[in-house]
Amino acid sequence: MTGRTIVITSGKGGVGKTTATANIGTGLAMRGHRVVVVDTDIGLRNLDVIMGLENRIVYDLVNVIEGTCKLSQAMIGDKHDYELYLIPAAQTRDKNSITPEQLREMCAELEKEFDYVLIDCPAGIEQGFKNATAAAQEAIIVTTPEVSAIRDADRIIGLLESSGLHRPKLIINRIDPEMVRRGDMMDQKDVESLLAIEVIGLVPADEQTIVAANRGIPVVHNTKSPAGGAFLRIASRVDGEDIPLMDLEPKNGLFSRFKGMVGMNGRAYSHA
Amino acid sequence: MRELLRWLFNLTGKELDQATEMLSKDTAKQRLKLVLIQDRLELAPEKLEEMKKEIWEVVSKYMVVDDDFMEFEVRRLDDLTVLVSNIEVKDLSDLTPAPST
Repeated sequence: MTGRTIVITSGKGGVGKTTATANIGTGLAMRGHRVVVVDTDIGLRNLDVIMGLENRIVYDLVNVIEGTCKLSQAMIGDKHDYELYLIPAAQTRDKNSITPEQLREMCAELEKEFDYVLIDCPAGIEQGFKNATAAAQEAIIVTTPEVSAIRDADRIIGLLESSGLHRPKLIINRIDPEMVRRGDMMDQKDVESLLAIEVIGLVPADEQTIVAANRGIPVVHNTKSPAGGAFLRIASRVDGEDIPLMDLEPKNGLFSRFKGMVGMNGRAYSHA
Repeated sequence: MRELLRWLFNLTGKELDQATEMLSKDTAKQRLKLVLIQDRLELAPEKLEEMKKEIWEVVSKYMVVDDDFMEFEVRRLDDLTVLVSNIEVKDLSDLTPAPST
């Protein structure tokens, strides 16, 4: 078996890399795949708390690389009944504790056993970024519809290109359909025309994402929530399914207001 | 002009601002377009202006072109990065050099 190693990156911090990694990983596992997610944000680990596994950590990524434990010892099984594992980052070390070659070797090992190896990349374009991208054959870039995040995403596309990672896919996270309607937020077309890469998912801003993070249960488990549904569809697209992207509609759009009037049970957002 | 508009439509200053102002997302797009060109080229803004001017000068040696309408963009085409420039040709019948300006 040869799995796919995909890095999830963004350049800018705080746009939702870790959330995307946890949710796409969980989504792929929900689809019946064997998945391992690797947190490479050494010194600032967070994938463990987003997945609710922070209390189970014994060994970490640096332990594996340095040989103080076996690969299997650092893999934490997910709480749910899926074939999903986490390799946490070390919290008390720094990004120079591992090299790109070492991470690549480890992922090659994981690919033998898993369908998907997802790498959560740290923010920035320094050593941590170099480590994370060296190990992957594919890349997903997360951005939000904001000038700073888009500018950084563009830099990342250029850097990935020059390191041989071609045709990265884009997730536009935290879209506010009401602001898009008013013309105060760039939409899919705007972002696509600026960055010129394929969009693989549109995720609406959704309170449930924060609720899910509070509980340590990725929002994709709640498939009826707008963000959860969006992440599950992204996982399906990563998995090769051809699902069209749909427009996000504002909560209080004319149509849903009309639906409310005639007593239909309109959902908060249409699905992307 | 603004005063006339205001008088004509009996608008308050704020309403007029809103009516004449660009959508903020379009402002964002416009600003990003320029920033991305500079980032992609890794060229200083004044160097970019210089290059733009020189390209215009070269083209205007051979045909009559608009000195106002010039699009300049660095675009990604699959794995390639390309420089795209559109310059409006004003007069096709006269392809001799424009009088020097």
